[in-house]
Amino acid sequence: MTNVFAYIAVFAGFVAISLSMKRYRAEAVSASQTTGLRCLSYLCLALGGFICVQNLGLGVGLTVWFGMMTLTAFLYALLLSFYPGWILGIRKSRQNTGDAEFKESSQ
Amino acid sequence: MKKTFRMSMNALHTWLGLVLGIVLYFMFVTGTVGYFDTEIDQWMQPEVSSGLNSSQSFPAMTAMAVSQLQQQAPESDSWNIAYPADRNSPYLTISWQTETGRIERFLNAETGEIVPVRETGGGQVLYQMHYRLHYMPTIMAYVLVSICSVFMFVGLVTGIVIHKKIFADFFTFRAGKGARSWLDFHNLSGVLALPFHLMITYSGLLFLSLSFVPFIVGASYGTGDSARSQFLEEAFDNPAEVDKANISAPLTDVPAIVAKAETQWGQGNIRYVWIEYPGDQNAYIEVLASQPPGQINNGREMVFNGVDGKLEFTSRPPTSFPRQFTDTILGLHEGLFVDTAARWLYFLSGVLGSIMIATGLVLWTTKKRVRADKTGQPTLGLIFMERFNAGTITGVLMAIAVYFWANRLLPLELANRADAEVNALFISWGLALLYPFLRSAKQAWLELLWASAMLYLLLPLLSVLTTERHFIHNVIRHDWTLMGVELTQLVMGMMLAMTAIKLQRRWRIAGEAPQATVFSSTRL
Repeated sequence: MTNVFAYIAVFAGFVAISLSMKRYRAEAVSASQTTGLRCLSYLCLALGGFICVQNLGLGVGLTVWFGMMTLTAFLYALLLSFYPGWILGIRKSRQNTGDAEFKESSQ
Repeated sequence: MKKTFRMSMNALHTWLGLVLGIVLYFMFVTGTVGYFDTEIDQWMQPEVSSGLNSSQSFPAMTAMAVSQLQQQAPESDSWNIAYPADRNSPYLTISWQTETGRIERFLNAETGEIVPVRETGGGQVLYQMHYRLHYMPTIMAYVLVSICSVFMFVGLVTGIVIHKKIFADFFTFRAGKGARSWLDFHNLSGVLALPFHLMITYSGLLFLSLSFVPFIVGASYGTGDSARSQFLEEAFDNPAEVDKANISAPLTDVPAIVAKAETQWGQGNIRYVWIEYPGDQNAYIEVLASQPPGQINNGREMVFNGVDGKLEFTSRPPTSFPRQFTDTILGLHEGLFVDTAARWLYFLSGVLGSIMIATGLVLWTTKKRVRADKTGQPTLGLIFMERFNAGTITGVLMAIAVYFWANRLLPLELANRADAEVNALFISWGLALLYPFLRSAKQAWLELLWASAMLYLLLPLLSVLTTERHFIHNVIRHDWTLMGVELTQLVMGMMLAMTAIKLQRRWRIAGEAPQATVFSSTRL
């Protein structure tokens, strides 16, 4: 069950990565904050890997970690594509810009 | 236009994909299904239930198995017992060598009686197709598969080279934008599962390295059988082979040997026992350990004397780095060490690989179709590939469903039943390949998708009608394995049906707007 924590960590990592990316980034996020988000995302991903290795040993842990990242990133990509508001809604409230702009900028 | 490096890589990637896409897609789909090979075995042999929960100890099972072997095959020179150790080998079975081949029997793990089962290739034959391709001679299949794997590797590397924005487009999927969407999904399934794709292709090559580059061994060891066996002995630490003495001597107490092996490896951690030349003076007993969970590479074994029961050989853990590296990589490919949850991760990565190949194939026709609709002159290649894609991408999935149907419907007493199942698979795939040439590409896509969807969706119902172990029984008995197989079949059927419905809706809209193209507005 501790693997659930690894999934959460990895998922959080991908959310942080996406928020630091040009395509999804809110303009309010400054350059230094972007760097911060990047570091946070790598930390989250690494944490997921650490949990896996702790639980399952080095070999299996790494294997599961890679599979976990593939699955999570894929689901997250679908989520971003079809329900961008779920994640990027944060930006909406902070910045008062809607999905329309996101769709435009992502073309 | 000046030809850049990236453009030539693009051309290589495209043409490799078009030419080898069909074989690679078949390999990826059957290989992916193979991650659940023993689960499918269980589904395809509903007569026998898994022996994993048996109350008998392994030495007790050994005693039952040996007495069965003595009754069934007293003359045979090679006996084998497989134990219900884990998910990778859920049954107690015996098998023996005859002049025409090996005969296998399933035993009831409680009583040791032979359980009559239908003859089937099961999940094993299905999974072996991804490197054996069936029908052709083994060595030819290996060489062909090796060539395809090399080009798969080239395809992956060129794919990375020509992908302009791997990181900027990491999560990008823009739906409903024609070729753009297909490219996005091709990239998404390729990039997100890239570690898996690279690992699986590279390790696949490593599996076949001895067939694909035999001269490397030949250069150091010389050619010929003796040189080859010397190499295998040195590289893989196999016990030396002995010949039959033709002097009879009583067989040692095999259950005691199994008990001895259990004290070494832990209770229930034995996968196979091979008894060679039973009743001969040179008899020997090879005991192979099951793969302990969490250990990527396996292969521990002990050899005992078959007359006095003395331990004669214990495999050492590999010490050379190349050997350890190879073992690890091959273990990663097979994924025998993972639990059910991680097995699903393997499966999903394989699905992404299959999707990557399928979307790549569709992408090519989508692009060409846009151009063809402008000029009004579809090329012969386009017309061919549009139909070929329908027959391959849906056809392979449909053929696997037909394989399952054949398992349930073919008469149980049919001679060479397992071969007939495989024939059903390939004949239906062949028909699926021909069918689009009799219809328009669009009609063929829809009809094949619907046909496969129905075949998958009706499978659980078919089991109710033809076997005792259907889903009602599985729910009552808490048989999660068979339930999982049937649920997966249902999900597969639903996804195919959803794809068909979606395509139908898109094309109906597209029919009103004549500019729209075959796939231009398809949302996956």
